[in-house]
Amino acid sequence: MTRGSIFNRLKGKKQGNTSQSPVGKHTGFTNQITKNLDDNLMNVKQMMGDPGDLVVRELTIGGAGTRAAIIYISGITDEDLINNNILKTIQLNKKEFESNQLDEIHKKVIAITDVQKSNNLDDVSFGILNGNTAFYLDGQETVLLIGTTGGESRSIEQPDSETLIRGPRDGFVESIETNIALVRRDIKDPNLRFKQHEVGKRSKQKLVLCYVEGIVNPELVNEVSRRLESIDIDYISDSAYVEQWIEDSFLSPFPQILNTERPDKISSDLIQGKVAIIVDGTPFALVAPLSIGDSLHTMEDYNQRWFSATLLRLLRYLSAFFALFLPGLYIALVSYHPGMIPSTLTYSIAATREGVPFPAAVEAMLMAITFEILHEAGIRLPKVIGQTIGIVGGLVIGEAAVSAGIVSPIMVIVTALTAIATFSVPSYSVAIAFRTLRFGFIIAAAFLGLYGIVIVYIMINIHIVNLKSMGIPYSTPFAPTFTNDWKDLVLRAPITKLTKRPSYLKTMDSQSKDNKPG
Amino acid sequence: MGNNRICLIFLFVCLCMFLAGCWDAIDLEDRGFIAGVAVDSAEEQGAKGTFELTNQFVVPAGLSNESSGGGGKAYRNLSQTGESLYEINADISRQANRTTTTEHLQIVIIAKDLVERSGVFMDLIDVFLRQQAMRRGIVVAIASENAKELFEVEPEHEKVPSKYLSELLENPVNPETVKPLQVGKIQEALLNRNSFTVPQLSVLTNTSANYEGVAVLKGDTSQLVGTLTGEEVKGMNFITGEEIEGSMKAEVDGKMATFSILEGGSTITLKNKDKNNLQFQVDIEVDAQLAEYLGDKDIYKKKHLQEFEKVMEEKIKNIAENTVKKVKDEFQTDVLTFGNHVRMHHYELWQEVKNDWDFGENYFADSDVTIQVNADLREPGNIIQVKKDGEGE
Amino acid sequence: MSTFKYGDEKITDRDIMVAIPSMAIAIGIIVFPRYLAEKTTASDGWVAVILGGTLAVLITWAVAKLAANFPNQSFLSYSSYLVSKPVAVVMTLLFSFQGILLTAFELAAISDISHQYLFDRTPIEMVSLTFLLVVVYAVSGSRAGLFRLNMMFLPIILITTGLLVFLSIGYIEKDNLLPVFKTDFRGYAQGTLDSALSYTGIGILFFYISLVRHPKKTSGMAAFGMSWAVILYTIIYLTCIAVFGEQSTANIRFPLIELAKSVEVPGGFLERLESVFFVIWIMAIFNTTAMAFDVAVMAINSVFPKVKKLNIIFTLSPIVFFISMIPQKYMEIGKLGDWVGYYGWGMTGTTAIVLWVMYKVKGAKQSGK
Repeated sequence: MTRGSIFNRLKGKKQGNTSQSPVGKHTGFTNQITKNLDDNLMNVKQMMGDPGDLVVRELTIGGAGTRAAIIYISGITDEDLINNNILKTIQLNKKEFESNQLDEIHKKVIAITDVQKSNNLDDVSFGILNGNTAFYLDGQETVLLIGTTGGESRSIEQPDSETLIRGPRDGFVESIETNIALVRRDIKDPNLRFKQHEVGKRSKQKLVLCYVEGIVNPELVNEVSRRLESIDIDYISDSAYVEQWIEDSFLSPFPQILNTERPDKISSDLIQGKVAIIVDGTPFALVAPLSIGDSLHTMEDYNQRWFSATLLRLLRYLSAFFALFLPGLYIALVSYHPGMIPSTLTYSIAATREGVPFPAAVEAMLMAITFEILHEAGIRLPKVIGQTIGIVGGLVIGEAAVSAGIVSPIMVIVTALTAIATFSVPSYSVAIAFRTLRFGFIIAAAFLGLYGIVIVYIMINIHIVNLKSMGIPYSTPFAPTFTNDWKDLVLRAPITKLTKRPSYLKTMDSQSKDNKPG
Repeated sequence: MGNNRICLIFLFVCLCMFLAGCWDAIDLEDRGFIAGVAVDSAEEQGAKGTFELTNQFVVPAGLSNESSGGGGKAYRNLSQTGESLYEINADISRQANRTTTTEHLQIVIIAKDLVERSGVFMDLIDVFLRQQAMRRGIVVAIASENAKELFEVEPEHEKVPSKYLSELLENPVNPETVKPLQVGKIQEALLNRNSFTVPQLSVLTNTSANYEGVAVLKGDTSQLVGTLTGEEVKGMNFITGEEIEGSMKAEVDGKMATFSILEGGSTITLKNKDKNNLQFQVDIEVDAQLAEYLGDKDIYKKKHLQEFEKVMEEKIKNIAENTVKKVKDEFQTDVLTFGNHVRMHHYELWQEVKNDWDFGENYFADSDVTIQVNADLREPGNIIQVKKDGEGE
Repeated sequence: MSTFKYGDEKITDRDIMVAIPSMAIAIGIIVFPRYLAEKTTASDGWVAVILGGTLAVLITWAVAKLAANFPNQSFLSYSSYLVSKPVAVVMTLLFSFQGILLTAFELAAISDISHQYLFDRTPIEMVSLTFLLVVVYAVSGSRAGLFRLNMMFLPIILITTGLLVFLSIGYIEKDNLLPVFKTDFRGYAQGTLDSALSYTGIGILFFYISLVRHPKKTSGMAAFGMSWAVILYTIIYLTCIAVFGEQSTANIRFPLIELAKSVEVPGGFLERLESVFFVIWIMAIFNTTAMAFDVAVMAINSVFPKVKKLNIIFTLSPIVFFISMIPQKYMEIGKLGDWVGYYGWGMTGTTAIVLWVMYKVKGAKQSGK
């Protein structure tokens, strides 16, 4: 059902520009459908380069034996459907047709809901490439495109990148139809809109912009649509291409658009008044706008009781602080401000550092880089060998480096704590930003101590206040201040108090509770 | 995108500057942490006004129990003589292979013979206040003999003598000691020309030092005028109302009784405004518990209870009066906060007398002090047992 | 219907309310207890702080009220209307000069203090240059961004200062607070003057109010914002006196930092917090400096509207840096500070009075329109 509606729209859009469609540069054939079946079949084959997976099945219809053919690509189609609901019904049908055979077949024989007509070869080949089956009838200039999209696809699983203790277990898959269906299942609001776009000049991938009309600020939708239309690229392997194309500042270390694999996340954000972008071929959907306040939130926060959720959030803020500042602070304290460390601790740090040949800054840099390498290697390694990384990292780097006197034990603790803190940042792209900035703090601390750290901190803040996500200041709701939104920022107020949509989104309908359609 | 270009230029300029290097970075292991400073007189060796400064450096490797450098001494004492402490310190750093750091300085000990001279204490303390690197919480003590020797005391459980000494000053709850004196407080006292007391330490054995008592220093000259010991300190605490808690021994009908004082306080009132003969009254309130009693009086009887309280009051009054006598008549130095009381509550009078309070005209010495004690025995303990263990001596 | 009007340079009342204390809390807060304790007895300085504060709040209110009468008009345009164009241009340039001086002073002071507490050998130029570059980076961003920065930093500053006061409670000696009300009139007067000088930068209102979209309530909000600063100053003064006593406070160079030096955090993670507190106050000083610089740029820009903002910034910053390098000794920096303070108050006061008078004379015509 979902698929049908999407396709209708796609179709409608396509038909509009059929005539001026920029056609293939293949010579020796026209992009018009002729009356001759053989010519038509030749044209299709030639246009696609007669690939091995293109199935052309010729058949005759009815008693008169009118020639016909169905063409599809095996692998991306549901062959059972083709066999049972097209081939079989046509072959079983012995009745003669009247004047308009094609219409008769369309209406009486083919047992599939989604059928469109086309008389343009581009459309036909596009349809075939999308997994449709083309039905050619000899002597007709119109072709039926029958929706038989199917083939192998991954089943819905729990997303690996964002696991929750409590919450829905489904995640997006590569198929956009499934993904849209997942969102539809969550929000049964007739105002839920899926605005179709197409990206990839050659790949022709589908992309939908989702929002709930009546909640979302129309200017936001316009702005996102405008940016989506500006995308000019051949192929996108992931929604990341879209993200990078439409983000506000590509020089910023911070992600300005959130990506997620979770339908529940998308749904709740849509209800909040944000827009989502789902791209065909990737389980990662995008949510915009993103503000700094959202970057440490997870869906889990809302699935736990408010008290524990608030504490967890505070914990996450603390670990974000560690992830950013800890190595920098260590350097600043050890190299510049030993007076700040309690005397006893100072002496024990000094004792453990006694044999270390490097200054604290070099040591910290060394360990931080080592950790990044371990991290990167851990991702590349096959799962089976994955455990080795733990052993190598833990034992060799930790134990051996300390006993060899290359780094001090306290530095290992600092690095480990930083690493763990980094992993508790829920969004991977935010965590990457933190990892990058951490090096900034390390360098600043190495040169100017605490003063350097605060200077870099101020710089980052200047950057953040000037940064925007889809035109909305990144620093909201801290500044510009929306005190209403503070209920769900560092703290998470009880669900019963969270009745208002975020005011920084300037939604049309601010009350979350009486969310009536219309 | 103009913003971003600026950002880049900015980064570039920053990086260029940073190429010059990090000026102040000195790693922990390259610093020599001074934990304690001892100042002695060096007159036998040199000209008048020279000091011998001993810095006690912490040797971190000696502190760690396990691995590599363990086993050695955890401290290193370096001495030099000279006239300015700061300069001597610079001399010492020529002996040390590390950058000296005073940020972890915990204790300053000054030899008694130096403090007995007028104004020397003030001069010595100056450097510890002026330098921003030092904390205001450095504790100051006076050594009865040689300050340097205190840094040689090696207790069994503590590897750095300075740490041992500063903890000794900070920790004991005993009515015969005073609160640790911090340089910050000295600054306040010296600026106000208030007299103050400094804990006095001496070497007892090779492995321990002793809290001898408190030295009394005059506010205007910072000269040491005498030392209060034992019960005299206790009396001072009774009058100032600080650190009263502790034990007190008395005799009830010839039988020894030890009281443990739980809490207490004092109020000073000024009875008249005749500056030539000020009349102070000190009311001391004490709540106590009977900790040890070698007699057999039934303390649950009201008569006996009153008797016990009476004995305590007498005893406290006696102790306090002895202290007043010594401080007021002998030392003529107000360490009993009478002056502060006048300043706080009789400011106009204070304006008249403040320049001759316990120096010059010395209105303080001319004043009279009466003491009234009100003791409450709150916990008599279990009387069936004739002898009961308590926290007392 | 509400729309996305974030992109433009307009701000709200609340931004002004936050900007005023951000501007007022600067170097002054670190040193003013010393000046005040010199002039007054025991804890009496709080009276002076509040009197000075009330004065500051009143002037803030007057300036804001005046500027709010000309919504969305730049200082140059309404002062031209009130006192003729040439005078207005001179006034604008004088304000711009004040902004430059204030920036330079903050720069000089911050490098001086960081030399006291953070660095020994790092060249002073290095410290101030880094700081100036960050200020330039901030000012070259959007103006609305500056107000957002205020909003980001002010809570941090208030919280840490509150924390400091809270931690000092254990060190308070109530003896230091007594006696009360023993200061003579002269002391109060001088103290009031001194503390009033610490409330810098009311002049920014002349310029920033033109950015407020609906400045109806702005004057009240601005005065309210200033009263935060007054409360903070009072609390800090009382804490300093209670911990150190009047005599010590008068003899400590930076009483607030010394206060941070005295307290210890229970739990013993960190000792000696003065560096931490100082770097957090750097944020406060940064806010002041950035706004002062921004006003200077804005004023010049209004006189020469054709010159690009970035060009003005890059022309002014070397000048600022040069001025900040002139005072060498701490006495000279203190002098510069006094000077900037007097200049700022003189400028703001005179302008406010002159414009108000002219407004009363000419104002009817304006409102008749």
